[in-house]
Amino acid sequence: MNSLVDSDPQPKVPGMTELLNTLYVQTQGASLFLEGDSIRIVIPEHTGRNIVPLRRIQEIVAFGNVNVSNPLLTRCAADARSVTWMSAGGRFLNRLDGPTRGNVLLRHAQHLHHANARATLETARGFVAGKLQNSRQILLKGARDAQRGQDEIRAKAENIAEAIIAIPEAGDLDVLRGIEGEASRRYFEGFRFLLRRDLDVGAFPSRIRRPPTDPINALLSFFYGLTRSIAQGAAEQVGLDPYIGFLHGLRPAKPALALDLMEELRAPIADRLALTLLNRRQLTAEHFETLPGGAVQLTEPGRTIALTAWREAMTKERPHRLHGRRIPTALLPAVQARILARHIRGELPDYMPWMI
Amino acid sequence: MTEEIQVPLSALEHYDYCPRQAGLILLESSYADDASTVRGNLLHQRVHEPGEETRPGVRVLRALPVWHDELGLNGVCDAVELHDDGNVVPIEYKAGSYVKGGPADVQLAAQAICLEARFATRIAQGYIYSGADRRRHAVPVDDILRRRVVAISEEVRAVLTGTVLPGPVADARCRRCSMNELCMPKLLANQKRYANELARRFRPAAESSGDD
Ligand code: SF4
Repeated sequence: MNSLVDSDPQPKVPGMTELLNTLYVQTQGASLFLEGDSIRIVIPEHTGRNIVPLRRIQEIVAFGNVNVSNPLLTRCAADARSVTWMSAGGRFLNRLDGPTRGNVLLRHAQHLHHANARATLETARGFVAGKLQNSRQILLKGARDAQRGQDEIRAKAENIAEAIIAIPEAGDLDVLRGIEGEASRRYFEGFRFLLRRDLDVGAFPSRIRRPPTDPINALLSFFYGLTRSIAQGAAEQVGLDPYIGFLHGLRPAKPALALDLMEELRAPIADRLALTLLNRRQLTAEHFETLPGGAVQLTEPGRTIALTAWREAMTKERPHRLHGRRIPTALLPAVQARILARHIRGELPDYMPWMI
Repeated sequence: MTEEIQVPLSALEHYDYCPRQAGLILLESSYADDASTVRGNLLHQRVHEPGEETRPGVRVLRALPVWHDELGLNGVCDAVELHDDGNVVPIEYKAGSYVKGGPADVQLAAQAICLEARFATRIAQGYIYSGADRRRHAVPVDDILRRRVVAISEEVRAVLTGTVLPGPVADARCRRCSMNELCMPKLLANQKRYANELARRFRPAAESSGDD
């Protein structure tokens, strides 16, 4: 069975919600049913009973052609257990979160904050700062281990350092987004050198999304989809409206706040993991497939490897300076969403991103 | 006509423990489940099955809705004993240990006041059942406690009609508080440190010696 669920009990951090498991289901044609207080997973051509107790599962993430029965969905909604759907390639599609957590005053404050151009700009600066600081650290770290291009990598890191200094000077959102876009381009130019030269997955051209047309971009997109899922879940959990963001503009069906919150997580979580899996050759060309038309995605065995690594990365504890302790990666977005909520409520003067 | 703002009985206990805790629950409708609230829920699930049972000389009502129009209170009593001699005795179930004179007493006294209005009686004493020592602890419903109920009801109503959260107490209470994560008392209390952190955002950080 290719559904991944951890059987080890997770470490409990004092004062932190217990980190429960995410059930990742990625076997095409699998169906999930409610059976008492458990999930029964049925996979065609596989006999035998696959049962997972609901109490061990905090959320379900389904990739591609996976059926989730209505009774199970209803139960998940009632227990505030989220269900996320991704395309087989890992593109975020949809998420069920049960009733909106009733936090009308916080949401109202969020709308007022957004309506205030000055406040929006100041908050957006925090997201950009987090993103650039963390991207720069990944380059600096990479430069230490890189087999080649150390000078190039350090030069890109220096470009990003300059961009960081320019953030407080940006007079409006467009300028700020310009700084972010340019720094992001520099970052991916440096990122190319962090990949070993002798990989069989081909070169990294530049960042290509929707859809990725090479394995490295496919892997990045896959992890970004998962990162977005935890960022969006964090916004929901804290009671913020995931669609009202500050750096990202409002557009229908675009969870701008989730995208804001994931900026600081992209490089240290998603990009680092992609680099590790590729450089250690845990993922190679055979784990990717090209669809008719040219889009590239992970194969099912490839997804299993990527998800196993992701799950491990989520339990890894990372230092959080503001809290003065280490926090499991999976809980970082919620911690940051709370800091944002306290800022929006006027209790903290500004948004402080998580900086590695 | 504006709707009269009702104060939930449970909020009195939360407010007495920490005003901000009540504010977070009432204004941000957030309830963090930690181990102790989950234990509490399990205990409550059992006592919150409405119904009644009879022992010789006593009828026990479970999950009984009660209210008080004048004070604008409403809530549910875990258990109420109706004795044949006319005594009405509320019993509140708590998962944790009992603290004499603590916030639970306020909630119990408020239940007693509501019950007095419903049953046209006078209640001298109720009990808190503590899951920690599995014992009943008698709580005399005296005038001091009654005045505390009235005062806190008004304070809770003031929080409910406003939009501002009470500030954090940031003391020993926070360690046992299920709202800790959401509330972030330490971080809020040390705004100077936070301001220093904020200043770091726009300075390129030194190369991290991170361990990943
Ligand atoms: S963490 Fe402390 S300040 Fe915050 S609600 Fe709990 S007791 Fe009150």
